[in-house]
Amino acid sequence: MRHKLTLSTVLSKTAVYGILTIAALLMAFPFYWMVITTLKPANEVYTMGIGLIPSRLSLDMYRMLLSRPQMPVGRFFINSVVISLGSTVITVITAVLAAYPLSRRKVPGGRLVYLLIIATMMVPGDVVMIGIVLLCNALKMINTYQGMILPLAVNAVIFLVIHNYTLQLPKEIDEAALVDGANMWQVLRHIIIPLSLPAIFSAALLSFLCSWQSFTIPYLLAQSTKMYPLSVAALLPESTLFATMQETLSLATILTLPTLIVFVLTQRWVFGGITMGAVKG
Amino acid sequence: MVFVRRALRISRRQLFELVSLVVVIALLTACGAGSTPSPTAQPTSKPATQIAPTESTASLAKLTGKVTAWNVFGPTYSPVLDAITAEFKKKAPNVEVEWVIQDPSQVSTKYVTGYSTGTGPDITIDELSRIAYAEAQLHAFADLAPYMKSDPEMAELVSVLAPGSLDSFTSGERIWALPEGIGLFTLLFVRTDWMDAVGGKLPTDWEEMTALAKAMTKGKEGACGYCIFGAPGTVNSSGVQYLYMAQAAGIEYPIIDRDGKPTFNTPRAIEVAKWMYRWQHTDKITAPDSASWSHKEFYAAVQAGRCAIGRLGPWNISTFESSAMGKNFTVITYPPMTKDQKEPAYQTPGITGIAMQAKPKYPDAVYAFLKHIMSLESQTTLYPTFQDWVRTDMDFTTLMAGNPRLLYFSKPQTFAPDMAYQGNYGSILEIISRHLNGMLADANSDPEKVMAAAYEEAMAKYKELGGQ
Repeated sequence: MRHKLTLSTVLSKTAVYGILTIAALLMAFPFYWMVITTLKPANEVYTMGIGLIPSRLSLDMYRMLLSRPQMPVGRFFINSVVISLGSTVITVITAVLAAYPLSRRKVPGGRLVYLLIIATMMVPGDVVMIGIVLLCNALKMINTYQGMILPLAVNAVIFLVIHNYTLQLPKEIDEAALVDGANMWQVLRHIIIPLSLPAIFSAALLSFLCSWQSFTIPYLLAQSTKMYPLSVAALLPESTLFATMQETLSLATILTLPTLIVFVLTQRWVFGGITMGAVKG
Repeated sequence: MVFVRRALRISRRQLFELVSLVVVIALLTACGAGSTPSPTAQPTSKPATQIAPTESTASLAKLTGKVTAWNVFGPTYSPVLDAITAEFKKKAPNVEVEWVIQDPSQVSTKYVTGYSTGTGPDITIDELSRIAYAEAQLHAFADLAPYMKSDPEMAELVSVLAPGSLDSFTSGERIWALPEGIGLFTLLFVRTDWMDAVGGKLPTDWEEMTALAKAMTKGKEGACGYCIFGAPGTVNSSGVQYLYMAQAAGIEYPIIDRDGKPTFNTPRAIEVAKWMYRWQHTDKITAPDSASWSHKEFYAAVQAGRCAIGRLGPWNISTFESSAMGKNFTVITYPPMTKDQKEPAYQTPGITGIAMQAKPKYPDAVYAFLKHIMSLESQTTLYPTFQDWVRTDMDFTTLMAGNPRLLYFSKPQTFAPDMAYQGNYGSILEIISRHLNGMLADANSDPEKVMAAAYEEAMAKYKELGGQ
């Protein structure tokens, strides 16, 4: 059946799409400007005006960044990947293992444990920094990947996303499986996890993005320059005021681009997982 | 509350339980945080164990171990630091040295976590205010006084340091660091292409500077005659801008005196505030949004070539040469307020110190590396990059000949003391910054009233912190 197009419909749709287009352009512009500035020839970076289109594209700044032995950008990138992936895997595993019994089983003291986990969201991260450094030092994990991964691998938000999602799954599914002779691990592995994949997937992505952008913990725990992740290293030249704007923006682009690509490709599942857990029940 | 309860899927009673739990945890955390020193706390622990003075340089080859040193100046400085390290390695091949680049905006936190957990650096070279904080709160650094008595090389080194430069690192009998360099903060760059275009000449007082700034930017949209810091806070803020101006106006102690008492209630100090007001609201030679300018905004304007006159430190010269203004600028010291000013136009010093950890794992190697950094050879290597000095026996004629922008060094300078080591300096500076920031943002403000209000608040803070 075809909808009849009236003048008011056309006008209202045009207005809505027009506003949305302008809003999208406004939001995309800073990112475009950042990337295009890094690709400009150096003599065009500080010209008056915005300079939307460079006379030619140049990768000189990226070549310079990748060739400095004091700032091994490649190594920083690998550090970021290791720390982010490591903390994401641990976060998701622990969140699933905690969320399942707390959301679907009668566990003695479960409510208290739940509240304790939620309460960690209310404690400012800065006040526990010395404690984290002390603990990592006692465990000989200063300046190691493990030391940087573990503090990032505890995240109540990730737990909450998975907990709220699994909570809204029908209890009858578990009961049917138990009647059929499955044990708890089998229920978790073969039923709950497959059904919760949207939430797990979005939780994993949130965790990855959070770890990728994390600054304070890796900065405090790294004792050598080569152990810095990109999120720390990208700020070093800028904060000393000796970097050019192009250098700072190039590092920011290297830092942002991977997360942006991952996010754009997967944002459908991210928001799907979050909202499903939040509105049901 | 309803939203929170729904989001967390809990009842009102459970929400009450959760809030109670958070309060308990917060209280426990606050108690636990007692181990973190408060910014105004006085040292309570005894100085760390003294390290025995080491053997002479001749035995460097026998030294072994690892030295971790922090570079808070950024990767730009890494090559020159690596160069002096390579020289050290020739003398002490069995000592490993690692420079770790730090983020200066976050390094204070890292000092606290590092030194309170035993993971701080063996050696750090940093601004006086930052290492003074680490020393005051944590007694983080070794006492160098015994070395000066027992090690002739160290005694000789100290004897050639700029007179008085050791004072800021002395606490009673204890000398917890050495001055590594004194840099001038109150240099000004003046765009020569713009100045020549209007037939101007370098200013010798503030009236001339105002007229020149106006003339240079006439008809140039977006240009700023005199770019200043105007933000609140203690770093590159309106208070720091006031400090530069006041010292150039002949006030030796513009923020606090040697006893830590606020000093900005004098007619001269109020006159300085009036000049700041005048530049912002009457002559409008500063940027319209100066009240929001800290180093980032200032630096962006310089990089874009928008400033006719602005502050720079010697270390900025090469970076500014690669900005949009290129090499079209000259460097002058901050002129006095008036030509007939009796007091000298004091230069604001930025003192950098070098300190060694109180309990390093390899004390001999660390001490040897500290001496190496302070040697004439290393300081001469560092000078072209760092552009500051503290050894008086350096060959300045040769060092400066290569860059005409450094000719100001050939003129005698009168430094004002750096008071950043005083415990209440930051608090008082923050107060005057906040009030002056308000003045820059509000054309209806009255500089006299602004300074009076700032002084009143500063005196209250001074007394709160134990001042008489």
